[in-house]
Amino acid sequence: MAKISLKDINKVYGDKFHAIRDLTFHIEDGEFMVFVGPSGCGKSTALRMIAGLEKITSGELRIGDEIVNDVDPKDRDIAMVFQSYALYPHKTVRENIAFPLQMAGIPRDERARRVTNAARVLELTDHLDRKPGQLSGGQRQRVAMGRAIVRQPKAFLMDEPLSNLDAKLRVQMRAEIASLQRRLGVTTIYVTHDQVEAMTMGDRVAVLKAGVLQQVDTPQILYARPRNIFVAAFIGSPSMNLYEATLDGELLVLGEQTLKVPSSVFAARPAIRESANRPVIVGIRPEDIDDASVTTKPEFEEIDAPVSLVEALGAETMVHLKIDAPWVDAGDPDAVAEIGDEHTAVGRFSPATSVRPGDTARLAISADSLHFFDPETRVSLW
Amino acid sequence: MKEPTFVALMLSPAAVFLGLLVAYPVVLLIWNSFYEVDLVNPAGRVWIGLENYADALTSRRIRESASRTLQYASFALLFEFLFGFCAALLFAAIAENSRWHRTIFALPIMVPPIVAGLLWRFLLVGDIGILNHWLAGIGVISDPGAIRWLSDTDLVIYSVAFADIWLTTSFVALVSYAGLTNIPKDLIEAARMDGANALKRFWHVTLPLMRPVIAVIVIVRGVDAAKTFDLIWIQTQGGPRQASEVFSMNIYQRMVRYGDLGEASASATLFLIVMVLLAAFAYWKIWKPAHG
Amino acid sequence: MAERSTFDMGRTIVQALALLLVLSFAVPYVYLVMTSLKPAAHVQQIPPSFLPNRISVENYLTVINTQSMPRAFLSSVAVAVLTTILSLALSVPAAYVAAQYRRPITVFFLLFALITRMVPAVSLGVPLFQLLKSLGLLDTTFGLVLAHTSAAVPLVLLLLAAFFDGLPKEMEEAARMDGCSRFQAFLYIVVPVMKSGIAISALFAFITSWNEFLYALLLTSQNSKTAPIVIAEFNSVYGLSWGPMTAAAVLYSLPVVLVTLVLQKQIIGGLTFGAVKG
Ligand SMILES: Nc1ncnc2c1ncn2[C@@H]1O[C@H](COP(=O)(O)OP(=O)(O)OP(=O)(O)O)[C@@H](O)[C@H]1O
Ligand SMILES: [Mg+2]
Repeated sequence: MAKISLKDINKVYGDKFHAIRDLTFHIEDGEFMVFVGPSGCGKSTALRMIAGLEKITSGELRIGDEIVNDVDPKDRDIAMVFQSYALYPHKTVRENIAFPLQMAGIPRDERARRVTNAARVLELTDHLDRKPGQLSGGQRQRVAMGRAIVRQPKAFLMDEPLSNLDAKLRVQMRAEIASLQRRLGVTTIYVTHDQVEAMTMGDRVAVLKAGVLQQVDTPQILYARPRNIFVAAFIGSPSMNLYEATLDGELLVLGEQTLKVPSSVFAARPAIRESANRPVIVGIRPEDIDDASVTTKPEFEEIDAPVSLVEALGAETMVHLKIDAPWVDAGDPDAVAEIGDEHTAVGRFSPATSVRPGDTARLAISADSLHFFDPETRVSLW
Repeated sequence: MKEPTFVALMLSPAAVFLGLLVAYPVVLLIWNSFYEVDLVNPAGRVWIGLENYADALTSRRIRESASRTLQYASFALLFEFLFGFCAALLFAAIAENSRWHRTIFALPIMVPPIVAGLLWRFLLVGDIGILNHWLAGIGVISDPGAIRWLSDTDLVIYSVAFADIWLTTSFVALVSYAGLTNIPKDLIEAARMDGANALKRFWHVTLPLMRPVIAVIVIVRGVDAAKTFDLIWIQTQGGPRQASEVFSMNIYQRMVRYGDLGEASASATLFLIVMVLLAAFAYWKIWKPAHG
Repeated sequence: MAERSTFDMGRTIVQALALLLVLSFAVPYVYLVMTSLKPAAHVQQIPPSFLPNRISVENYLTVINTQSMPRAFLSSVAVAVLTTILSLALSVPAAYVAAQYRRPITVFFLLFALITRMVPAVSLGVPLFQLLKSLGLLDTTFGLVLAHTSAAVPLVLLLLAAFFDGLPKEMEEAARMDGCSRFQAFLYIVVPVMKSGIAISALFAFITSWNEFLYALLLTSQNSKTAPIVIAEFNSVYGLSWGPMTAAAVLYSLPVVLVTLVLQKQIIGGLTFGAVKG
C-alpha cells in the first residue's frame, strides 16, 4: 500500500500525438481514485504509465516515495485488472490466481492458503479447477479480480473492468469492488468512461479530456462546483443544460425571458457579484427544472418553454424542452449523442406532471442552484 | 529489461542465423559470379568482371532453359489454378457435404515431390505407364505407345508438369475454398436481391473479393513452380536431350557436372534477382491495392 | 415441382462432378500403393493392372533388406527432428516480437523473411556447399540440418507471425503485472498459450525437411544421405526396379499422407492462414 503521485507527466506517441499533457496529482494511501472521461481522452494511457506498461515521455511518477519512471512493471508491485481480463487460457482458475504468488516466489502451502482465501472472498471456490473458457463473463471478471487481490500489492489498477458485463451484473460488481477495496485498504485507480460508476465508486474522481486533467475532486464537489463546462456537462445524467445568457444586475436574461437570481448566489460567488449586461453561459441541471404547477420546490423562478418529448419513467418524468436561447456544446460527444441534435433542454419533472408534447410548460427553476461560466474561458464563475 | 533490448535479443538468433545461412551465401554467390572459378579447385579463381553474365545472357542453352521454365511454370500454374478453383467452387456449391471430398482431396498436399515425380514417371513411362493403357482402353489414342510422354522432346516439358499439377492443385483448391467460405453470405445475398444472376454474382462479387487470395496463390505457386527442381529431376533428369531442363536444373548441371562455378553463379544470381523482383512486383501490384 | 426436380438434378450433377474430381486426384496415389503390394515380377507387366492379383510384401522386404534404405530413413528422421527443433528455437521468439512489437526493425525483418522465402534453393546450394565445406560440415547430419533450417525458418517464421498476430497484447502485459520479466512472460504465458499454433508450425518445419531434395543431393554423399536421395538413386543403381522403388516411395510418403489426412483441418489452416487472412 502506498501513495502515488504524478508530476507534470506527459505522453507523446511517436513524436506527434500528445496523448497526456502535464498531468499532476496525488493519490493518498488507501484512496479509491477514478479516472473518467470520454473515449480516447487518455485514461488508459495514464493508467498504463503508472503500471509501467507505457513509457513516460516526461515528468515524474512516484509510488510510495520512490521515483519509478524507469522501474519495470514486475518491480513496481502493482496489480492490474484488464478490460479483457487477460486470463491465461491454458491455466485453471486456481493456477491463474496463484500465478502472481508463484512469480513472487511464495512457498506452495502459503500460496494454496491465499488462493483459497481469495476464492472464498470472490465466491469462486467451486470453480477453482475450471479453465477460463468454461466460465461465465461475471466469473471471469472475478478471476481477474482474484489475481489482483491474492497478493497485497501497493496498488490496484483497473481499466474498465466491468465494461464487458451486462448492466445488472455491472451494478452488483460495482458495489462489490468498492466494498472490497475499502476492506483491503489498497490504493486503487479505476478507469471508466461511465460517470455513474465514477461517482458511486470513487473517493475522488479525476476528469480528463483530450489528455488534459480538468478537475480532481470528490464526487460531491464535482457535481456541485464543476470547474468548467466540460466537467459540468460530463458529470450528472442527463447532462447539465447549457445556454448562452446575460447577467444584468440580479436578473438572468435567457432569450426573451428573465429569471431573478437570489442574492445568496451573488454573496457566495464574488466573480459575478456586480455585473451589468455580462454575457455568461448558464448551466441548469435537469433536477433543477420541474413543472411549476405540481412542484414541491420551496423556492423557484418561473419561465415558459414548449415541450417536445415526454418520457415517463415512473419515479420521475424526463421532459425535453425547447429553450429559446443559443445552445452551448460542452465538447462531450456522449452528451450530444444522448440528447440528439435537436439541442433540447431536459427537465427532470415530478411524476405528477401532466405536460404533453406540444404544450408550453411553465417551468420551476431552482435559481439558487444555477451554474455560471465565462463564455470565453468556459471556466466556472465563482 | 528495456523494450528495444528485448526485441533485439529475441530477434537476433534468427537474424544471425538467416544472415549466416542465407544472406552470407547470397553474397558469396554474387562474389563467385565475378570470377572464373572451378568447383574442384575454388582457390584458383580469376577475376573476370561481368564476363560470366555476358556468357550467361548469350548462351543458347541457358536461354532455352529459361524459356522452358516459363513454359513449365505457366502451364502448371494455369492448370493448377483452373482445376483448383473449379474444385473450390464445386466444394462451395455442396458446402457441408464436401467434408469428405476435401479430406480426400488434401491427400497429395504434403506428398514429397520426389514421390510425386516417381509416381508420375511410373504412370507415364514407356510401355508400363498405365495412363496410356487407359487412354487406349477408352479409345482416345490408337495404341498405348501412341504418345511418348517423357521421351518426346516437344511434349516432355508439359508432361513433367503433370506431377506438379497433381501435387499442388489441392493447395490451390483448399486455399480458394477457405477464401470462398470467408466471403460474407449477405454480400452474395444482396447481389441476388439486386437481380444479379449466378454468373454476374461470380464476376462482380466473388471474384473481386477473392482477389487477395488469388494474388497470394499466384505469387506463391508461380515462384515455387519456377524454382522446381526435384520433381523434374526424378522424372527425366532434364532429358531427353535437355528438352526438360529448366533453369534451376541448368544451373545445377553447370555447377555439379561441369564444375563451372562462376558461370553457374552468374545465372543463379540472375535467377534470384528475377524471383525476388517478380514477388515484389506481384506484392505491390496485386496484394497491396487489394488491402489499401 | 418441376423446378424442384431440376434443382435436384443440378445438385446431383455437382455432387458427381466433385466426386469424380476428387477420385481422379486420389487414384494415382492409390495406384502407387497397389503397385508396391504386387509381387516384384508383376510390377512391370504389360498391360499393367490397377489392382494386384496377389498381395505380396516382397517389394517391402527388398527395401528393408538393403543396406542403404533403413539408414537413409533414420537419417531423414534425425535431420527432420533436429531441423524442427532448431527452426522453432530460432523462429518462435523472433516471430513473437515481429508480430507483437511492430517497429521498423521487426517489419524489415519480416520482409527479409518474405524475400528469403522466394530465393531459389539452387542459388543458395553452391555457396552453402562452400560454407559447409569450410566449416567441415559437408556430408554431416548437422550440416544438412543447418541447410534445411535455413529453408524452414522463413516459412515457419511467417506462419508463426500470423498466429502471434492473433494473440492479445494483454497476455504479456498481464504476466508482467503479475511479476514476470518480458522474457518470463514469453516463456511461461505466451508459449503455452500458443502451443497449438507452434505445433502446426513444427509440423510444417518437419515436413519441409522431410520432403527436401536439392540440398540433400548437394550437401551429402556418404554418411548422411536422406531417404529421397536413396530412393532417387535406386533408380540408377538397380536399373529400373520399379517394385522396390514404389515400396520405398510408399514407406517414405505414407507417414506424411496419413498425418495430412488426420490433421487435415490444422494443416489447411496453416496453409491458408496467410493467404486468407491477408
Ligand atoms: N500506441 C499508440 N500509438 C499512438 N496513439 C495511441 C496509442 N495508444 C493510444 N493512442 C492514442 O492516445 C489517445 C488516448 O488513448 P487511450 O487508450 O488512453 O484512451 P482512453 O481514454 O482509454 O479511451 P477508451 O475509453 O476508448 O479506452 C487516443 O487518441 C489513442 O488513439
Ligand atoms: Mg481505455
